[in-house]
Amino acid sequence: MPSLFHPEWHPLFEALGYIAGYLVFRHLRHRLGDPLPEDRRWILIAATAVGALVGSRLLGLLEQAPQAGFHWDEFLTPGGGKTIVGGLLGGWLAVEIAKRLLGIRARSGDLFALPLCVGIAVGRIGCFLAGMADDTYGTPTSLPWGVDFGDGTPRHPTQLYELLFLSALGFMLWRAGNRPHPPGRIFRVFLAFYLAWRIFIDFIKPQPLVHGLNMIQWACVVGLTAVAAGEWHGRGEAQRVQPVGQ
Amino acid sequence: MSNQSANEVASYAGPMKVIAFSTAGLILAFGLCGLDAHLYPHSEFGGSSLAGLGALLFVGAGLGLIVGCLWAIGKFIAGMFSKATPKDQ
Repeated sequence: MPSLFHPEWHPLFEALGYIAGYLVFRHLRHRLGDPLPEDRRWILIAATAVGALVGSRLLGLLEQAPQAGFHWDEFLTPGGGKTIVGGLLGGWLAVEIAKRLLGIRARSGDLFALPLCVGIAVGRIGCFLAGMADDTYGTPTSLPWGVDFGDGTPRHPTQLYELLFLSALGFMLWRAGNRPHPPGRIFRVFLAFYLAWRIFIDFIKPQPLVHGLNMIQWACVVGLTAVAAGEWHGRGEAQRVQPVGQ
Repeated sequence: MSNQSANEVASYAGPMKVIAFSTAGLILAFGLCGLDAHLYPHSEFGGSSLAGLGALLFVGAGLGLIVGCLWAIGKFIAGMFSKATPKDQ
């Protein structure tokens, strides 16, 4: 019987994730409106993409550094991995830099939250179906839903756990987005919940540890600290509730 | 921001779309080639169709990124000249 797991699924679902995320973004932007004009929105999207590329590659290399060492020359070569957390944090940082350069003060991330949830969830299907070829599988387990990805050992299907988590988070964000909320709150809630989730779920992934946490978890700790600092810094702004549709 | 400078930024939407989509293509290409390198670590030119697809995407997205950047630079230079003209007259 042919195996369900094959590495070719990964790029297919990754591409579908990008497409699904973009379609959800377009739909939300059309339905809810955008605090930024078209031109500025696209500058921020381009900055996000470039920042995500750099961040995902950088953290992908750092993730494997405890085992394989860190090699800068691999940054632009095809080998090595990439990580969602690095992409999120790199994209976020790039947007903040672009906003500062352009003098944009409006919170701009709310429209990205639900598309990111959908895109990552679709991509995780590919991670699951890629089996052992993708480094996102869990540690061995004796639980009845443990999945044999091809090495004969039942493992935690961490990709499916994340799919369920993102479905719940997406539903919560969608509900919250339909109610009046302070600008930027939806994105920060998404980021905080996702980073906290990754700290939790990565404990059952067989990744090399540095002082008790893997590099992705350390990046999540840094990201959560930045979210908390941003929330503290903009606490006055949080009093200003944004009606739905802006 | 004045209307004039707002219009200048407005003209960047096209190249920024090209840069954004090309960068997404590059991220995907890194994934394809990285997966192939993970599966076939000793194969110099890639061990599966993933590497070929990744290489094609690399070239396409890379070209797109170059075109987007050149387009943006062209817009920037054109914006400088259009700003300079009224003063010169």
